[in-house]
Amino acid sequence: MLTEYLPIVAMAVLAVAFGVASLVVSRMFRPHRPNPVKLSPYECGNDPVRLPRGERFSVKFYVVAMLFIIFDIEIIFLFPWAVRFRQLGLFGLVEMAFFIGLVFVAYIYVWRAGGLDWATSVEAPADADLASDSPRDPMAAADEELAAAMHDAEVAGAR
Amino acid sequence: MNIDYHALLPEFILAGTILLVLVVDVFLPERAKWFAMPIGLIGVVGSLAGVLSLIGAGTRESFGGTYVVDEFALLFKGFFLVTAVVVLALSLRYFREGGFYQGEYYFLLLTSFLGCVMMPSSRDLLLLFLALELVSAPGFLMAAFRKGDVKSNEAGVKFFIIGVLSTAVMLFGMSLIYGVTGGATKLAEIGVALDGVSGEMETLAFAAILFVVVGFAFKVSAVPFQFWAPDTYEGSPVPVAAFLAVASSVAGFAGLLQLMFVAFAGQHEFWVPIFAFLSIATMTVGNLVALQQTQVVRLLAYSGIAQSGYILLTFALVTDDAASNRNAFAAAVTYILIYGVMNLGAFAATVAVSRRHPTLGVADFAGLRETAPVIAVGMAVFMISLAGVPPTGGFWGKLLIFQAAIERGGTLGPALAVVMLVNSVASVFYYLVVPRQMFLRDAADPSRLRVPALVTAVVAVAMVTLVAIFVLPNVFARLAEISTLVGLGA
Amino acid sequence: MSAQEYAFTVLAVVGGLSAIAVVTARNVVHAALYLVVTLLSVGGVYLLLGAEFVAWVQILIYVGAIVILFLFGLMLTKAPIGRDTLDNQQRWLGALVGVGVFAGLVFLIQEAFPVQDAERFETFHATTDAVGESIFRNYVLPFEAVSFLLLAALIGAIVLARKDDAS
Repeated sequence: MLTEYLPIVAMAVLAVAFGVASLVVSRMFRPHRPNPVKLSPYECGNDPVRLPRGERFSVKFYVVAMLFIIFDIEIIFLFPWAVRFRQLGLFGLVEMAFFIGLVFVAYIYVWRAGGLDWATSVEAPADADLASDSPRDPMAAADEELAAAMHDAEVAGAR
Repeated sequence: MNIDYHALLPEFILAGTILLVLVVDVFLPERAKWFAMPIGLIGVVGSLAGVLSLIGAGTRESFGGTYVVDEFALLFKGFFLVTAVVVLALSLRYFREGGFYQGEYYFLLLTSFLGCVMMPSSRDLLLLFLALELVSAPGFLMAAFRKGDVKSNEAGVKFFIIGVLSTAVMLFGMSLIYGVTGGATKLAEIGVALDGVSGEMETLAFAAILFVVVGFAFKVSAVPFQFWAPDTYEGSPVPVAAFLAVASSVAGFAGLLQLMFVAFAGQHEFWVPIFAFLSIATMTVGNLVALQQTQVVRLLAYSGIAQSGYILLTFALVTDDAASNRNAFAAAVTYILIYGVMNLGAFAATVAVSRRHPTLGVADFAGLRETAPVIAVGMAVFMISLAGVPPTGGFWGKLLIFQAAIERGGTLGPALAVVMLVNSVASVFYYLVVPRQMFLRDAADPSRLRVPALVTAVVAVAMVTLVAIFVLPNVFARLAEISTLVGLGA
Repeated sequence: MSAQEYAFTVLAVVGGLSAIAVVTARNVVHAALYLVVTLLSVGGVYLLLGAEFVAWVQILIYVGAIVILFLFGLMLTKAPIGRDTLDNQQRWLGALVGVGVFAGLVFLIQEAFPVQDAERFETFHATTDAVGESIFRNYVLPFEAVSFLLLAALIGAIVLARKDDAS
């Protein structure tokens, strides 16, 4: 059985070798003349307003990530079930229906609880007024943002 | 493979209720969210009826003997479901007035109880592990339910991290057992297979047993795995603390009893000293630290740790003698049940006081004899019972353990009995702190404390039960006697 | 040595080193990426042991989902990144306990199951079919219990992550 994996191993080795080789070769041959403009992060041609470090994402992403994991695990259970489907018969169908039904309840809950609504709660006032400012020193902006976020965290903690 | 649907009826009813609570909650308007509680209550009572319908029906096996419903299982299932009724009753006002997510809370609580109900029937390592997880995982979340409160966040995180760590250790131990026994997962099979191993294999099996014990020691908050308990109880909503102190830790004991008395019974010479150490450390540390507590929930937490120590003592009494083992087992079961009643009562009284004094300092109980006489008398009874002083059920519980320890003989039995006696005497000091406040001090605010009817009812019933146990000990002793595990003392 | 043993040696070394890198990395994002390598190696070991289905579960769930959740968590909580923020005073004690337990277990397991006596890898092959038969016949109850566990985890996570409008 393991010999079937030989092509995959060969593929993996080739992929890693290609990646490493590309980096090594380009390092050897490319010219190295940095300047501040080149080193700044690329933001679609706009002047970068701040460093991405220290930016906090909306907690809504977390709900999506959790949903993803739950459904991922559910699908994993479907594999052995599908392979064994014929032999398991009606009993197998019923138990899997029950399992999927349970996860479906979770889905209804998330939906009704507003976990999937994005438009109603666009809230990032601190980010918004930072973004509207004229371009500044990115580090200073990042520091300010950090302070703002820490303040937010304090408020949240106190609540 | 066989499935006995009647034997699974309580679980089915409870599972259906859990889903119903969640779905109904989603469609209820904000003001009617509390409605999830009566739905849950009806479901739990229905499940209890299912358990009652199985009494006297003999031992029933499902799923190739991995899920067994016998008297031991029924006794614990009944206990857990009654506990569920009580915790639900304590929760209604607390959660309705506190601005919590009610539907989700009842959903998580009932899911946890589903794990509890599965635990005493699980005769397979995999099932045992999943039942334990099903008890714990919603517990982590419920502990953090007071979202705005930093202490509650701390409660949840501490509980989670220590819980996950000890679960991982336990799971590793289970995998070693699987390896050593050559692929046995059923408890009875493990017991047989482990008796056959020797030499290096046996040493590895000892390590595995140690790891498995660690997982359950965390669950029952035995020293040195107790650190989470006081902080978690204090930070959690009070009904959740009641749940953790009673249902969750009793579920741990239900699992531990099966593992130790069935699967690992043959290795008792190895683990008896471990339990002796755990027991002595747990009761001593619990009692000593409890002496310094000024907050009632923390006091109850340390008292719970000390009580776990008394129950763990019965494990240290196992010998080759089947009759003496049966004594120890009966003492453990009896004490667990009585412990559940008195602790639930104490938490119910605490819930009542928490409506006026959310910080729950000991001084907040001052003058309770006037502001809430029923609660005050009840709390006094629970405290006296926890200390093991007559005329309460706690006295019989302790006496049974004491007797079992003396009857075991050797040096260990009497030695443990003496340690327990000293501890019990020491514990009287802190257990009497609260009654002293209630009866000898005056309240700052002498107006009547408004106590929800359900909470008063719980306190009254628990109080009457404890006194009844003292008056009619034979009835309750019989309960434990019928619940001998199959294969006990083999 | 057979090809499997060579493969195992490579996987064990890579997995072990990256596991050490997970806990020593100064940057939590790097730590998460090292974790990917570790989990992949563990998946590879499962594959070598003939547990094909478990190997792919390991890769799909752990590498594909759990680490993603880790990275989400880092972005959401703005975990402190950089020197010393992940340190505490007990690191030497922790190292001592870790090494002690590891050495003890290696000794015990080696005594009980000596490497010299190990059977050839090919003897065991758990097909997806066999796993399905096992889960959906004898272990139906744990399987359904898992679904309740998943449900509780999801609901609880949402409750805790949700922004309170009420309070």
